[in-house]
Amino acid sequence: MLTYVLRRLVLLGPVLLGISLLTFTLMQLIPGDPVLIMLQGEGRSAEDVARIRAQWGLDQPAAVQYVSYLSRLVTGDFGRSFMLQRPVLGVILESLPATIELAGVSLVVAVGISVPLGIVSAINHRGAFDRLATLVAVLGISMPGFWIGLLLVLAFSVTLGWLPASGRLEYRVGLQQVTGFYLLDSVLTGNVEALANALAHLAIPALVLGSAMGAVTTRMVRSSMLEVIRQDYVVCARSKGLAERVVITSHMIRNALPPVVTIIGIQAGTILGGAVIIETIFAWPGIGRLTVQAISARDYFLLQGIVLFFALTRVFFNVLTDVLYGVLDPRIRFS
Amino acid sequence: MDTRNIDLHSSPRSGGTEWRRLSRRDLLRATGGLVATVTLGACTQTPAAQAPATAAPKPTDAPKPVAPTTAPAAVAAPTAVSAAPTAAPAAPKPAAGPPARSQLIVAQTADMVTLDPPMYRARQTQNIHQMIYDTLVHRTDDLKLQGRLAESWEVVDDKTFRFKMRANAQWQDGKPVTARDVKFSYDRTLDPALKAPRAGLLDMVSSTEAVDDSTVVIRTVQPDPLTLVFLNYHAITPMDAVKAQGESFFQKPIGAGPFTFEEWRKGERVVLKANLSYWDGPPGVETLIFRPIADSSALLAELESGGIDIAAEVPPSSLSQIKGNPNLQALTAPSTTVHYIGLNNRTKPLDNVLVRRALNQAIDKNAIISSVMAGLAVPVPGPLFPEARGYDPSVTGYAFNVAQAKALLKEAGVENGFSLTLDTTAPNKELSEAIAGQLKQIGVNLSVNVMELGVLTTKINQGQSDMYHNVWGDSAADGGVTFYRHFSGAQRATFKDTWYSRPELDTQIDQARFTFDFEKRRQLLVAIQKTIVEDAPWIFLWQPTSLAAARSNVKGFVPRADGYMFLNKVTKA
Repeated sequence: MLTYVLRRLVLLGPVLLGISLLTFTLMQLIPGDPVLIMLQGEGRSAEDVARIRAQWGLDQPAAVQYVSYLSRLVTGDFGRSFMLQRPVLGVILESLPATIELAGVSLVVAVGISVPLGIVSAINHRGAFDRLATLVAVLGISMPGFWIGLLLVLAFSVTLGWLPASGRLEYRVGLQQVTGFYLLDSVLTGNVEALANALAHLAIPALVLGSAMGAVTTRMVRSSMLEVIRQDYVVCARSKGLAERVVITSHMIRNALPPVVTIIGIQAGTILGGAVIIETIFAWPGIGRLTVQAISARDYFLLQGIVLFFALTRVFFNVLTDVLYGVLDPRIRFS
Repeated sequence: MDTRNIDLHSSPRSGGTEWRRLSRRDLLRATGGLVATVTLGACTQTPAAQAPATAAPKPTDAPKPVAPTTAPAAVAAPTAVSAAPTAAPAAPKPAAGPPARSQLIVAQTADMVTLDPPMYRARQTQNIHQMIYDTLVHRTDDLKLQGRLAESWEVVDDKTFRFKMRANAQWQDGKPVTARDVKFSYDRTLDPALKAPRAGLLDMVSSTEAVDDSTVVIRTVQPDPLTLVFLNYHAITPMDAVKAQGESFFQKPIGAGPFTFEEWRKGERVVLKANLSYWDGPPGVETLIFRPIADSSALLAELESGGIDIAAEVPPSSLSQIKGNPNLQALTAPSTTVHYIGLNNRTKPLDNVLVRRALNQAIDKNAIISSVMAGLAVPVPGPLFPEARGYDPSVTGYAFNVAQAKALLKEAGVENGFSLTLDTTAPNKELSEAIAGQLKQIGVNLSVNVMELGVLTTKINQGQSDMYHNVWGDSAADGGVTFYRHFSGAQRATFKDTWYSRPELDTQIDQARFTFDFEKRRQLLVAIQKTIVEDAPWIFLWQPTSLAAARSNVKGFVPRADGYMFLNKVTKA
């Protein structure tokens, strides 16, 4: 398996090269002068525009720009953000803990809802619970997350005043930053108030992000279980007198899991995309909102870095899913 | 003024469209008269200082175009002088501070970029910096110049300014602010090695000299009337501390402003604490927090639930929601921008002045303002907004009259109307469509073409757009800027725009720009405005009103026309 993982990592090279070429080309294709667009109509003299162009190397031919971009990329230099005047990689890493925390809790919410719901639905096939769960899942898939989010904010923040409308933590709780993951930090520093405050801030965005994901996964778990339920080995297990609980846990779930893992893996990769919207409407200081900021400020350098980073995480989750397959299903051999 | 400035003025600008922002060059053009008048008078100014923490009317050293006959000096001299801080050079005793645990949370659409003063461009960052750092001079809420760290200044000659430092201004570590700090800060901004984005806003300065601890002399590259206005963008940092700590100083900086820096969680908030020994008195709240919230629905939810106290930039569509909530107050300010539709004077039939006048008469501006803009705009009769120098209320422009518009089209020989494309950008799409809808009434069929701002700007600059809906910003509020940029033939080499040009008007515009007698200048500008309104190279539309919102217990928050915020006098009941 180690060789397999290594081979996948080596293959990452050409993939990233392709992605970098694609993003670079897209940036070149955007109409208008990038310097003028990045300055966004701030009246500047011609000399000043020329100075900025030279400073950022935009006076070079596109091919030269790409090669120099690539050579810096190899050394881990993603370039400098025009909007923030800081290295792009640093900016991305700064906003990462917020996104990972939100995505992680959302994933827990999603799996926590979908796996039990899907299993019970499958066992209750065509029963009342199954129909109810299906209805909820279809609603969850159909309703856009930002809309559910706004409704929840209206109910729990504006009307009831129970939960904060946006942000990640209030200033007054005074959490000492250790890792940048606020849940972890508040546990590490024993700050119960901060933990409660961070969870309150996480509640609505994680529920919104998690429920959209959970809805799809519920359907997947259900159909995967239904497929397994009719298998001979399940009938065999039952006929040899195993308790139904044992049949479900060790014969059905284990075998139903691989496709579910695939879908969770894919969704974990797309959770960043979902975070773009959710983080913006909840003023969540993560990489999703950073993307929106980079776009509205026309910060091409930052945007290029973020797109590359998104692609990287996607590839990472794909490899992770493949590896998990092998763990869950010993028949799968990596070659 | 000599002709050397003409080169300066004719330097091409990067973009045709601006929201409030304006280039240094434009400001230069604008206030050309202002400081030049001072230059002639070589007067000593004693800029007003506000008495600490009082509600006294704000004294300003308004460069008011009022009494130019008395003495040129009076133009830039203070209209009111508060003696308190200037008469007492001793460091102020920490006065009674703000209420304990009082906290003001302000939401802006973007996070702070950096704590290092020369290293950013964004307005949101300046709003935070000007609470931590102080500047030599600044502009008051009604955009008049006022001394801050400079207690007074004097124009030595047309390229030399001498500033006297305020004796009771001190760094937040208790050391006095000296002339050396000013020299250090400006030199650092202009150091090419720093590549500071703000260097372009200070490049009129050729040298800064600290004559002694309390005297700074600033020399400019050429006679530059706007030097004082530009100094308002540059924060002063403590030389000794920055030199000792290097870059790390800007991780937890000290300034000489009304608040001290406490914490910056990137993307989340910036926290400032009241500076009780600020020379202008302690601020109104103990803790000032800035939060970046870009999404307008999140902004309103936070306002309504009390999570924030002030939302600095609110979309007009939220007005009714804010007004309907007793816990909120809607605050408006006139902006320094106008909307207009540029008419290509080379496109048939727009080359006929009768057609251009007909288009101006066929638009019911009030109807569009009330239906599309929630009433948040003021119709303008010409290219200037009412606050701009040269605006003449007796010029009423074109009244809405469809019958007259049709008659004009008939006279021009196009009674059956015509079809053209109206170029616009996404933010103005609805407005452009409403305009196109109204022009259908006189048989003019416009297809609205929504473009990227950068692309539209290029098309306009090349004179290739037949009709374009655009926004023009002039925060210097001086007709000279607008006329020179948009209606002078001298600009057509760089900005083809409407191709409109009239040699005799060019002479008048140049004459007005270099006239330092404000009354005479105003008269010239009024005459120019009349000609432009008659020629109608634009469809003159409206001046948008900017909207901010606050919780109703917030007192003393004034939204400014230029979009900046000074929050040290804001209190919470």
